[in-house]
Amino acid sequence: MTYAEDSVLLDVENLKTQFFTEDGVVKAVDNVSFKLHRGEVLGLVGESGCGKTITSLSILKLVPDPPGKIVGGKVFFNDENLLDLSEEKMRDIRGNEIAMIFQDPMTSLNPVFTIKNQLLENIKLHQDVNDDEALEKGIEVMQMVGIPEAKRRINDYPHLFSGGMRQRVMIAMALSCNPQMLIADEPTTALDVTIQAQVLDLIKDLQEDLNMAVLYITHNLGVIAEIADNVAVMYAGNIVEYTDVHTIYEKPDHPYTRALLSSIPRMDKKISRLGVIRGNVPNLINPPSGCRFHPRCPYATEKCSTQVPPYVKIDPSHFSLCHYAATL
Amino acid sequence: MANTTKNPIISVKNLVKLFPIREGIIRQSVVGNVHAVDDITFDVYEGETLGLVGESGCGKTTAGRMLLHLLEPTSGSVIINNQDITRLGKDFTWNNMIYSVIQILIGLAFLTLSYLIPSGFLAFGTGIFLDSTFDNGYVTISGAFLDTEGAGMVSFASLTRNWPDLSFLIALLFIWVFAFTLTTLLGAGMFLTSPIYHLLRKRPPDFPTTKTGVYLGVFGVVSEWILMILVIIVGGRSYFPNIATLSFTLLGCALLIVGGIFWLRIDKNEPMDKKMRKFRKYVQLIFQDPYSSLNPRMTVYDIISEGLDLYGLATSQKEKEQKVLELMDLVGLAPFHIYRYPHEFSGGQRQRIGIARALSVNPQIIIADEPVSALDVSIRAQILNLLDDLQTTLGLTYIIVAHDLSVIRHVSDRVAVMYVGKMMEIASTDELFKQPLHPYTEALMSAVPIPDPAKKKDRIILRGDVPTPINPQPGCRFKDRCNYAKDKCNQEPPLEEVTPGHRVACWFSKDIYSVRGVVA
Repeated sequence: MTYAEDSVLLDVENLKTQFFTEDGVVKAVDNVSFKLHRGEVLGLVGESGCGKTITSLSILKLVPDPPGKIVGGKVFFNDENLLDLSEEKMRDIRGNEIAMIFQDPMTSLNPVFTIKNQLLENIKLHQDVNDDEALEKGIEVMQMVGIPEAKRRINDYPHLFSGGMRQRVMIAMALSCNPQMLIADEPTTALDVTIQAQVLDLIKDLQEDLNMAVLYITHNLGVIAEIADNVAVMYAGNIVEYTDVHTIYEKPDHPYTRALLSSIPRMDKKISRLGVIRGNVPNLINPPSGCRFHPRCPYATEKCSTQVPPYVKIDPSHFSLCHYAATL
Repeated sequence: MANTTKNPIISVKNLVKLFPIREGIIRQSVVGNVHAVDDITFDVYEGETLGLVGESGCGKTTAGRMLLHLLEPTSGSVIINNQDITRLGKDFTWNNMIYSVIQILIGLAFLTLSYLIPSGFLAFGTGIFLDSTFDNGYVTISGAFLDTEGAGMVSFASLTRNWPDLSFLIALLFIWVFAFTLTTLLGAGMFLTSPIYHLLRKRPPDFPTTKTGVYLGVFGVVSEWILMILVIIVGGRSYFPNIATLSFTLLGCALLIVGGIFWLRIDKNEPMDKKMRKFRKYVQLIFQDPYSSLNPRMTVYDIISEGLDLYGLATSQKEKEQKVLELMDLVGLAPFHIYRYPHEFSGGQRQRIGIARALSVNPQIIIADEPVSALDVSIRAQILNLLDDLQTTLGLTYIIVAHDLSVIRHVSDRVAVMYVGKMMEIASTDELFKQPLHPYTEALMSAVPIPDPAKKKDRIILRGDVPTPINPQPGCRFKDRCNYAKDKCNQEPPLEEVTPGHRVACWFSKDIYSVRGVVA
């Protein structure tokens, strides 16, 4: 998919986030760059520990400090570098212009406050409204995310809602201030499949209706295929491949993407044997030299272990972090 | 593949597990039941993989646990190797008794020790300790000997009883008050008659001189006897007093054993029986979470060899090590890993250790409860391939419990779909995925995101949430969310065979396509 040049909403350039621990410096996010356009859904996919969540937390400057620190890079949101902003200004952006929903709807809501209390807090903080208007807005977003009897249920406590309903409440909260961008960090992972289908459907519909940009983080390649327009695959703190959603499944270029796709069992077809990525995810205190994937890569050569690969442009919207991109 | 000419290795018939819900504080009454597993029937054939799939709360884990007799079924039978395992471990056994008697003897040893050291203070601290815990409607009373200054406690028996009524609580209170008063009085008496006291007062240590001391001593003897008999009668528990003769210890010892036997005769809760052990050797479990299912204080060698020791499968130390190394090789662990601890391994490697442990006793059947759901995508493939290889080389029968239909499709020969405690559909994997006949199976499959953007499809989005299994409505459990539900669905549909080997619990399974109004 192509986007107009002026539709860039978020532009992350060479983002570097590190954690300073007793054992050494964990290079959790290393030179991550990507662009997110208005109305685009970008899927950020990778295994646990690859840095996808830290990337999103870095964008909102929510990395726990200490031990974490954003050590380099720029994050332009509406042509404004978020990394230069004061904490006060960041607070105006968080929850207002960039909203986030988290993986576990069970722990993201405070059990001792009603939904009304928690939902209206965000609205009142960011919008110039009185109590009645805020309540009206709260009920409106709850209806928007498909919570039946919103007027009554807004007074309930979180434990009275099921998992799927709680995630709907989280989404309602995120949308309450009409954000331009939504970061969704594994929003359906804790849910059952039939409920996951409901929530995915909801996010997709709302995204289209509101023309929101969504950064969708997940490890589930099936979910990515359903929801994303473009996909960035992360491995060990790097984005190893970036392209549109069709190309990533049809013509993946990076050896890691290929291996990952061949290793998943499929519900739609019978696979006699799964592909295997040998070894384990590397320790990011001492990441492998050169290409971080080379110890597990079946195509690795001498060059891969010594030189850091460049981003190779395969076509205008397809990049791969590999010395042998497009030639494998 | 399911082979109908083979005899089933596991045969589950009308298996039910209800968890009662109680209300009330003193007199509890059952107000409802959680129908975790409600009347399921299926067979598993030798060498096949049966996938048990469903959403959270559908009862798949409870069903898996009952196959291992880790949970006692409310009714129904599980026949493994022509033996109904639900009947195992229910009667009085000598194993139980010996175990408890050893505990009692340890308690006595401590008590005797406290005699041999002539100190009144010591006696003061030594006494009976009764404790009770309340958990889920069950009361556990444990008795222990408290040794000096509370430095340690030796438990001599414990009992779990579902007796949360008033008379029991009063009896408990009575024992408590009595025991503590007496221990205190006795302690004081012992102190006044003890050698240390007399040394301190520069009197001859061999003869009690204070009148109070003598009275207290005599009172102690009598009351301890009363208490001992009382505890035996009320709780089947024995209590042995701190009186300064060893012969008394021996007499008490005999009484304790009598009490212990009496106690054990009424305590049938422990299903630890020889038959049960033998059965568990055939059926092993692989757990979901490789982080919490391995003891962090045990090395890989300890973890894998525990089963070998328990079943006497290795005669010498050398053979044991050899076997452990073989098992490690089988699951793809390097020999130098043998003396490492679980924290030194990644999730996938830990799961391999868990698999080696399960294989150590040469089981025929492996029940795997979500074996890969805690693992990363690339590691998942390694473990699934390993399970596949092991089945080929060792001829194992698997029951794999999982929520992920992609995993189930990949590993299973046959699939059973569960929903709110009921079996909805059971068929061979190929047939089920080609032609799901139950509306729930259809919706479940349609809900799974396919990693192929070209295959975007019209998903069936189910209304609402999974209903609660507490006192479910009569009729089909799925009727409130089903798009095709009709009046007839208020009656419970039986699990009927529609085509050979394909059983469905839906009234409209035979003409489902005309009911749905779509052509498959």
